[in-house]
Order: sequence, then C-alpha cells, then structure tokens
Amino acid sequence: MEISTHVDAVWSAFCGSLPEDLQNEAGQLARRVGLVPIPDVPWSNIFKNEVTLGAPALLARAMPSVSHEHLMCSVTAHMLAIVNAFAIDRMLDRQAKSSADLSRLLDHVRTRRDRAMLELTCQETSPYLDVECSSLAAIHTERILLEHCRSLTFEDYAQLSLGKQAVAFPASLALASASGWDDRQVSAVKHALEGIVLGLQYHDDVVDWEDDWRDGRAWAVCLCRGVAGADCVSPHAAGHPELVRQQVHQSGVLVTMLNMSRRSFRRAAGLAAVLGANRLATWAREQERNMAKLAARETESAGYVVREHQLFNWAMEVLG
Amino acid sequence: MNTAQQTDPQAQLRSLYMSLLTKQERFDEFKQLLAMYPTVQGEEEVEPADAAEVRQKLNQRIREWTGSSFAGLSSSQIQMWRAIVVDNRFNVALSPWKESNMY
Repeated sequence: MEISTHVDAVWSAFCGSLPEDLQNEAGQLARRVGLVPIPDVPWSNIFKNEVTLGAPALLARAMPSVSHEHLMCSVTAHMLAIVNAFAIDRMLDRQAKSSADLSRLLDHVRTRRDRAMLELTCQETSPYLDVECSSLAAIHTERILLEHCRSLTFEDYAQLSLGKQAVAFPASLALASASGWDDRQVSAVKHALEGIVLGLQYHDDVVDWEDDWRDGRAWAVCLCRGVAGADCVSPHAAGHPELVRQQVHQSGVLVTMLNMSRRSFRRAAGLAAVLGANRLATWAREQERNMAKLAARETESAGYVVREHQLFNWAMEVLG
Repeated sequence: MNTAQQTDPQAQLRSLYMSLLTKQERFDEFKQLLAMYPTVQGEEEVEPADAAEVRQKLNQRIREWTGSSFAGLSSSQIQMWRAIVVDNRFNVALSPWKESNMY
C-alpha cells in the first residue's frame, strides 16, 4: 500500500468515528489551521514529503515481521499526533483561531491517538502525554527567547528544535519494538527520525526567516546576535528590515543553518540505509543533496533561498 | 546578431528568474514595481497613464537585467504576475501550498 493511501485511510476512518456534528469540522481542519487555502484537500496532498505523516509506514518496509494491525495503529497514532501538534502550534501562533468545535475535535484526535498507541504497546499509559508536555515546554521557551531577541547559540537552536519535535518519534519507536527490533535498531530509528525532523526544521527556518522576523520571532536573527555579538541586530531594528536582512546575510548564519540541515539529512540517510529503510534513505539522501546545493547558492548569493521560495509560485506559473 | 536568449521568450524569462534569484536589489525592485501597478481594472478600461509608466519601467528594467530584447509585459500579464508575487494568489491546481508545508 502506498504511504498516501495509508494516511488518507487513517484520516477517513478517524472522521467516520467522530460524532456527526464534528465530521464537517474534521474535513475542514487543514484549512482551519492554515495548511491549505482551499477545502477538501486530502492529507496526503498537504505536505511536500510523505515522511511527515507517514514515517512509520516508510520504516515498516524494513520490518519483515510487522503485522498489518500494528502498522495501522502506528500510522494512526503518528498521523494524529502530528495533526494535533500542527493545530496546537498554529493556534499558539495565532495563525488559527480557536473555537469550541475545534477544541472538541482535537480532544477526539488525542484520544484516538492514545488509543492507537496503547493498542500498539499494550501499556497502560500513552507516551504522548509526556512528550506533548516537553514539546509544549520547548515551544514556549523558544517563543520567549525569540520574542526577546536573545543572543543564542547553534547548540541552543539544535536542542530546542529537537524538543519541539518530540511527538514525531513515539509511534515509529513503538512499531519498531512491536515488530521485534532490538534496542540498537530502535535507537537507530530514533536517531534517523531526529535527523529528518531537524533537517526539515533547519531548512524551514531559513526559508521563512524574514516572515518570522516580521512576526517578531526569528531564529536567524537570534543566531546572528549569537555569532556577531549582541550589538548586531538590535531588537529596536524591527522597523528596519533591510538593515536586519543585511546583518543576517553578513553573519553567514543562513549558510550554517543549511549546512546543519544537510548534515542532519546525511545522518538520517545513513541510519535509514543501515536499517534497510531504503525509500526513506533515498529521500533523505536527496534532501542532503538539495541542502548542499542551497548552501552553495546561499554562499554565492546571500538571500538566495528566501528569494527562491518567494518566487516559487511565479516560476511554476511562468516557467512551468 | 541575436542569440537564442535575446529572441526566445522562455529563455528570456529563465534569464529574468536567475537574475532575480541572484540579486537581492533586483528582486526588491521587481516586487516594488509589481506592487506599484494598480490591481483592478475593467477589461474595457484604458490603462491609466501612471500604470502604463510603471509597466514601461518594469519592461525596461527586465531588458536591462536580462540583456535581451524582451518584448514586454501586457497589462493583463503584469496583473497576473502581481497577483502571484505581491498578493500571493496562485493557481490552486498546482498545489503550491506544498512548497510552504515542507514538513
């Protein structure tokens, strides 16, 4: 079964289990939280890659003794955990408006996520309860630091980025254990997934840094202050975007972030290959190459990655 | 003597794209000129003089950036470019939101 089929089947089954008055809300969720501009886009067509929602299914291809029931539990738990995390993040960011129906829907999402996880692990407590807390703590810490435009290090950046992504791991780790993989293999799964989520996060933070700065919170700016000194990019420079952009470009932090992304994908590709998750390894290797290319172009022409992103729709329309 | 880039419209657009990608000041000016072009005009309306001036300036700048004999954008073309680049409206059939939802 294709990953997209797994993902859409999981969401369809979940929607079918909801009270009737929430089914429409569920169908509109991706639009409500600002992931798509139009209604009725299947979840499999929302993200640029299949790893975000389908990581356990990709890893399962390397698990010869995995059962279909375990696989579906794992994909269900993972997908609902990610959907919930995006919705919460968008609401905290005020990109999505909270409502009673949305809150009720997310309660159902978390309940179904935890039930799928317990079926998979045969434990009494869902690991999502803990990881959700640590993820929210990392999100709040990041928000405070970035809003105050603190001087931050790349170690701070890596640590908080990983903390925010804690919900991306439990389902795949539980699936690996349930299918009989040993501790070393489970650990390799964890490190491979860490490489993937960090690779995606670092790249995203480069692409969106100017928009993030307009919203008052950008890693690139805080890292620039960490590299070039606290005098660089004063928080009071918010009204001077060109000055901030110039300082960020000169600091070289965008290139460093792209190289961090490249190395994360390389680590993930190596581990996925060792595990036999070949499709995942191939995808991660491709991302590694993309990041190497982008880092080179950003080095040659500062701001390249942001401009490429901002021109993407125009280039699609005009150049095909 | 005309090279392919000087006469081929697609080659000219690719050259413009590369020029915008590699030079921040050109990208800023491109966006600024598109933003200066008025958004709503009835199909039957004559292009206002100030809009025509912006269009001519943008066409001239594109010729300078690409070093080509770029034929120039029509009023409807420039409005479409503005809608995509400045107003962030796009063709939903292309699923362009995926580019923003990288993870």
